[in-house]
Amino acid sequence: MIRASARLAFLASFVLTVGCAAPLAPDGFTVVDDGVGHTKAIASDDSMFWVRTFRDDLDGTLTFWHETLVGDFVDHRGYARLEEREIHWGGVPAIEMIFEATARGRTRRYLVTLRIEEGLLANRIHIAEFVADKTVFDDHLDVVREALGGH
Amino acid sequence: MLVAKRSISLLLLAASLVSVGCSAMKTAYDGKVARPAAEAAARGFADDGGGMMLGAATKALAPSSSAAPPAATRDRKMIYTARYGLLVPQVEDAVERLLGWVDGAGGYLKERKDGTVICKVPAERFFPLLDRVPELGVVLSEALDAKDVTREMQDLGIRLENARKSRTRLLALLEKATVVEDILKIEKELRRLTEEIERMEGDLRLFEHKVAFSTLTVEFRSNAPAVRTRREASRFAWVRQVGVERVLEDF
Repeated sequence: MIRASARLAFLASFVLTVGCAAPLAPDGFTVVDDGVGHTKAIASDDSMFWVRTFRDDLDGTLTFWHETLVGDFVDHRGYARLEEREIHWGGVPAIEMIFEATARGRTRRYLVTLRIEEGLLANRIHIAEFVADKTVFDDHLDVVREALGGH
Repeated sequence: MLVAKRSISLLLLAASLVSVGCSAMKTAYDGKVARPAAEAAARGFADDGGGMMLGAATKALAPSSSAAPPAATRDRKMIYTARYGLLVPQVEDAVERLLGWVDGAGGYLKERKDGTVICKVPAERFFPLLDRVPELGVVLSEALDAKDVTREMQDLGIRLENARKSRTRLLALLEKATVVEDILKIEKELRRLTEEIERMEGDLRLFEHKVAFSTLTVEFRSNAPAVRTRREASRFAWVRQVGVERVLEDF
């Protein structure tokens, strides 16, 4: 009985969670794929926007995953960290980071926003990513932030 | 009447010759410009019978000190095309610098695709600009092609002038013609001649533009590693699934 209640509660929290983790595509972007917990959209200049959800069995905190991500991006992949700020994404505390990296011969800017949603059985990690050529990154930045409801 | 017919026949024959000359010109233009080897050798060019691919000739044409074409070529109509392969730390930064120089020289961007940039630069500022290109990075390859089109342009100019004179004469003849058959023949020839003149004018304009604006193509390649590995990849699966590379791959 308790298990059944827990499952139902988990299901409800999952539905609520993914419901608010899949925002509309930013203005100027076209959705190429969306579904439960994710949205994938692209702009005419090849800028990409992707929101995803991962299950977190470790129940890591926002700080833990933030440091893990930065460590991997900077120390393993060689990204340059440009900016970082605490925001609210869908009313929940989140961290927005901006990196610069060279990929496929071009300089890219990469915005990633991290949010942790606590669940009954497991936490959920929400990731919003925006990748654009350095030259057009700023053109889309405001609409991407607006789509995430970050402030 | 007999005299008039002979005049028409002669004019039509002349017009045809102009036309044939024009066709020959087009062939020379579409293919490579032929020049006597001795002439090229005298200017220090390695002429391959077509354009001049310059290895040693590059030095002759683009001396880093003088930054100007050799004196022998100054009065000639030359079409210059340079191509560089460069290794640079940041492609974007190098492209921006190059385009700044091109803009400053009064040139313009003709095409850009991935890391390749094609620019048109006023011929008189072309060689000073070429001297600066190595500042952008490590030169992997360089080639300069010089095409002497002086004779072709002169020939084209003469043919064009002759064609215009023929047209003027045909127009005068048309004024006097009274026989319907003659009028139709003259008008047909006038139409053909007008088309030829327009084509030659177009070719001449194209030549003039190619002479006035040299072409610079630069292929940039980044020497910055796409990924710098200082430590092992994250042990967490979801972390390995995010990031610039994964977004680019999975879209």
